[in-house]
Amino acid sequence: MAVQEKVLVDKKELVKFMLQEQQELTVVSDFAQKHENQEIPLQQEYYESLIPLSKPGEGEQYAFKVNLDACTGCKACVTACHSLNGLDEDETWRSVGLLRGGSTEEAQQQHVTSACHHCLEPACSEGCPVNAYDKDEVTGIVKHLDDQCIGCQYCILKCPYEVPQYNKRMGIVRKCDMCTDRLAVGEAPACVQACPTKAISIQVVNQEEVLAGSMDSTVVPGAPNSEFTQPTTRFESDKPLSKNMLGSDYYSIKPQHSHPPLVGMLVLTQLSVGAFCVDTLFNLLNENALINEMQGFHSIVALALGILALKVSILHLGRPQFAFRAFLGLRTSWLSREILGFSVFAGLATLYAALFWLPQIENIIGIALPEFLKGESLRLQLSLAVAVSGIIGVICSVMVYDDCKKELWRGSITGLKFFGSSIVLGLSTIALASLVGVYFIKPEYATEVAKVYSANLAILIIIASFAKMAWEGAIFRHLKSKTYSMEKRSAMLMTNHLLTATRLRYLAGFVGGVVLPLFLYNMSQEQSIELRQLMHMLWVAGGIFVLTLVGELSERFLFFAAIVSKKMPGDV
Amino acid sequence: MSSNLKEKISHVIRQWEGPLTKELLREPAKYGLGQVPEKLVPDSTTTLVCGFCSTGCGLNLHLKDGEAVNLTPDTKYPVNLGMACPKGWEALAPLNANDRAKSPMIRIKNGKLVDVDWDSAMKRMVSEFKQVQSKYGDESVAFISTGQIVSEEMAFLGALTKFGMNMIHGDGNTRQCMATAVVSYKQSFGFDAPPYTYKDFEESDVIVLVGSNLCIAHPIMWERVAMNKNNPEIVVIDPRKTETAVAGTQHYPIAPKSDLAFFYGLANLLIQQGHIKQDYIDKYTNGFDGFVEHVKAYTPEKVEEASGINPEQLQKLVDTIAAGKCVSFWWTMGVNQSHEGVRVAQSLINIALMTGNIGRPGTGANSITGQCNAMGSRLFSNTTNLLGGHDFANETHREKVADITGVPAESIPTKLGWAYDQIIDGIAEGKIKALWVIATNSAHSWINQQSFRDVVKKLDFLVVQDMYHTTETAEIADMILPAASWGEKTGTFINSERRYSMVKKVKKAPGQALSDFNIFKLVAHYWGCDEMFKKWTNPEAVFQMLKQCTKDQPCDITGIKDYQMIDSSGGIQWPLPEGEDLVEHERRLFADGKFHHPDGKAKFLYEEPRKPLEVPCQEYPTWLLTGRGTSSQWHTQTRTKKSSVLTKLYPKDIYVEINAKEARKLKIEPSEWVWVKSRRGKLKARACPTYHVQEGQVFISMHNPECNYLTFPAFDPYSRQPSYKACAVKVSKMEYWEK
Repeated sequence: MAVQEKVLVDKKELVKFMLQEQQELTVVSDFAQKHENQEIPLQQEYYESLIPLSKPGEGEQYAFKVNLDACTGCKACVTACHSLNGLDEDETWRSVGLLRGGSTEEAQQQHVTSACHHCLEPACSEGCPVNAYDKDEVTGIVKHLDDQCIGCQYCILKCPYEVPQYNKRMGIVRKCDMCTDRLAVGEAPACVQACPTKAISIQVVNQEEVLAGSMDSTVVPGAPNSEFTQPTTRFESDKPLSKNMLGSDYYSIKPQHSHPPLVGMLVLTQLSVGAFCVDTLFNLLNENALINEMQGFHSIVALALGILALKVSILHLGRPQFAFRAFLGLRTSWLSREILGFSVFAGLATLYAALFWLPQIENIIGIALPEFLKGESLRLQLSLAVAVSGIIGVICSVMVYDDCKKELWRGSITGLKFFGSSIVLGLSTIALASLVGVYFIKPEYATEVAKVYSANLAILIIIASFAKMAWEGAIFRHLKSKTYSMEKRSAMLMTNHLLTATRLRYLAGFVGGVVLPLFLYNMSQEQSIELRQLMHMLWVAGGIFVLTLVGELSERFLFFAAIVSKKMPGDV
Repeated sequence: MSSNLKEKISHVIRQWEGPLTKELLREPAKYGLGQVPEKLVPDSTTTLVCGFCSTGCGLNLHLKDGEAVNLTPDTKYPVNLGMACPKGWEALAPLNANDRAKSPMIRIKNGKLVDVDWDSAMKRMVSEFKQVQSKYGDESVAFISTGQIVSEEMAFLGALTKFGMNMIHGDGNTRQCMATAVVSYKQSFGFDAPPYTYKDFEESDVIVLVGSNLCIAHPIMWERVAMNKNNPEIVVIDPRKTETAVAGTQHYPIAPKSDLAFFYGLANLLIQQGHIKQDYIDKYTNGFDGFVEHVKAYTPEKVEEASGINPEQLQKLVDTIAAGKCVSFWWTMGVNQSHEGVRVAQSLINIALMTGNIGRPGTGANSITGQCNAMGSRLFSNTTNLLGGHDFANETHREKVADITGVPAESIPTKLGWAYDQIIDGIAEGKIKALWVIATNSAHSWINQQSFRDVVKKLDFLVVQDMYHTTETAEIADMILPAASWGEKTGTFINSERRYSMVKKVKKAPGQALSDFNIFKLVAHYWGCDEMFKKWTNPEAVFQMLKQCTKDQPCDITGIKDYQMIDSSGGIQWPLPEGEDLVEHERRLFADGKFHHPDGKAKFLYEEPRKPLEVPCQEYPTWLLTGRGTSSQWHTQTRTKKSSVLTKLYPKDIYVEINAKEARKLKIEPSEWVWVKSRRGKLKARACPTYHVQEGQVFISMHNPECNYLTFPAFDPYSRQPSYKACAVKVSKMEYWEK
């Protein structure tokens, strides 16, 4: 017995010993260190011929060159870039896609490795509101300044090659810098060092030639038109690629990032601008004391929602504390201009709203304000200024997306959507605000408000909503088309992956924009409106507001999520 | 305003540097590495052989305080010359996965796994195994091992189970990848001796790749092909137009399972047209005349009928081989995983022998192996042969091994155990009642998966020893033993070209995980047979014994002094007998024309092709081909799916490649979900229409766990390797409610 117990103790000690041993790292003392004092990289013998001997001269820059015939799709470049640059766990700056095509007789396939193209006209840089990109004058390398970035991610939307990558942990975008520091000391970039078949190299290219070569061409079949950014990467092959080559992901389209804060910001700013414009128009078109009195309340509502929109937009920034830098990009970035536009709008709208509450303000601050502030003409001028600045803001919003040069975001489409939202939501906001105002502040005006506001607004909401949805829905006719156009693929996304959002968009839009306004119109036709009736109307108007808002938010969600655009070939 | 303040303001407005920029700074490191990320600058480095495939690349681990923080491929390593595939680059990532097995686990009554300590686990395992043995006999406990652990551990497992625990049956997952090559070499050459060195890829002027998608499965071997300066003809023989077929210069898309007829026809023409080396044949081989007679029936017309390759195309291949001065023949799973793989491999060996393409630079009949240590398992797993390529039935051999290892000779069994498929059949028949599965994932990889899963339910006790507790097999286990991974322990691998190289401990294993070596040692203690393994103290002690076991064998490595010598030499190829100096670091076999049969001659072996047991028919009209998907995936993906980077590099959904014309006929749209059904199971996959597969064939990558629910359990009669690459299926559109 005693012996058995001893064995048991020994076994437990053996386990303890083993667990301890498992945690001991003795490799350094067990084996000799090799190449201890080797300063020159050993790998140099393989990459020496793959990087230029001299720096680019005037009118030249560095560029990637890919020998497509050598690339077999092993993807070592992606992982080497990841490891040698110390990227975060799931962060990659290079990608490898696959083109396939040909015919039964000659099936063709071609792997395509690509990273940043260090373009002559980098769209990322152009769109950046804070100048967080720098195209080096000597090397032409497009470098991202990580500490300058505010994480707005506009460059991700702008770059047609999906190069900048958002890093959630840091709240910024990062991207390939062609291993600038390595090149500076004669070392090859990570991907060049790591390609087992030497498919990737660095070359000095003539910028004029790149420019000329970019005209109405693409870097590989199916890629975006090079005219936009003038990418410098050269993809070379001795074998002609057949014309029917398609990226392997061509048919397996996936929903894109939906950018919820942008969805909220766009819809709410457009609502706010729309509400101000509708109210101003009512003011201009109706000589009615009632309107004058109601406007103070309407402007507060519109302003509040506008300010909410700007707050929501902040949520989109990875580093909102540096948002103040956003004016730096005014010269080239529509995003900077949008920010400026809406800042002006918000400022003017605040002033305008304040004009309606001068007596209250005087009461609070205890000082009499100058008389000219109280005049009708200032109010009118300011209301126009608010409307115009708001419209400019929305135009900037449209341009933010038009400037991404994606077919389905072109100005005409985006413009109709954005201004359509302004109209629909502007109308429904005022429809609600007018009833709220009269219910809580001046119930005695109920009948008049129903006649002037509710009836007219209901009709206008029906027209605007119906027109907007009909026009948007026209994209579904492409589903029947035989060609895989952008429209068809986007419509496919909306009817497959994004079906819930699509249903929500049209259901909410139809009930909120057509059915309920009909009710509201009917209710407004009563001879005189009792408080009870007013209450019912209020509920209906609330429904219209909420549902049209949901409808427009869904529309905007689809605007982002169902975007299909030309891109570098992806993988199966 | 002071300039200081100005600077500060301009810094806030446009900030060129700062903490975020610093995260990506690179710094020159020593040790010949060039610039590395500043946060990962090492204080020492060491070279390990990669733990994925059999290429055996040297990876230079960057260490901080002895622990790995990063890695780069070793520039000076004679295998990979500074390169690695994505798996190699990401080799450290799977070690950090959340689902690492951190403690022994036992399945309790409600089906849940609970953590227990090693003491309880060992007691339970030993008592369960002993109970089964006392009830059903010693042979009723078996093990399934792996090509993924170091040779020292394989040997320990084989010795412990067969010498110490009285088991007879044990096999490795290597049965699934290279058993065919083993048997064909053994029969043809007299010993399992892949003759080549990777330098041969560079020195050939004709490279013939059969059933081998080198670009994807072995990218670093393709690197060596790409380094070939002879502007070689690269002939790819594969039903699919693979990445390698696209990169090669000639592609022969033979019909599935027509390979044996095809190569006999090729041999026939080569003989007819006099492209043979009669001197060589006479001097160094046996059985050629019979072979000549045998292949006469395989006329170009017959070849066309079988393979779809017309006589002109066949002639082009004949001319290519005839014109080559150094022709090398390479095969991988397309040949090995076949119902007649041994004879197909030998049909290639025969062509190499009769054209004199063996033993010279750039030649050879060369099997490219799968797993990192499949070659170690061939010599030291103690399954298909007694340690070091010896014979269980041979008394002298048993005594030699007993003498070296300190194990009593009478404890060494005198017969071979069952192969993998026979063990599974044994479970079905109730002859095997307890199973120990080590570092393999049978519940994903074994052929005809549903049947496998039904069968293993009959086991009384299933132990899975693995680095993860989440593998498909661990999920059905009664007990899980947490194992340390590659990089967390010490030992040696042998690669495809017979190169010994070091695995070292550069990371701490998580929780209670132990090296497989120590787990075996622990089992020996609890079993009560530790006395027998007194000499088996640590991996290097075992290596020294294994080395002695190879003495006077074709794989003699008695010239390797120790681990340090392997490390400082950039790996060492077998053989290296005592007294021989290591001069050449890339050596091939048979330069002297001496083979390992008693008469020193190689044998021509051949046989009538057999029709596969399942072929396409009206109900299941399509061949299903399976194979590697991408270079970032490894087998059942237990490790590769743990790296976020690797997961980005392979398809998210299971897909089936189908001929584009056929897809149109079936009205199948690209990317649409479709059914693929066989007599044994069905799966849903996204259709991927392409011209790279021929009509009447579809392809699904083997990494998908669903794949083996379709495959048909046929086996090569000599190697017992499963035939994964051909079964009959039907592809059909899915009704909308099924999607």
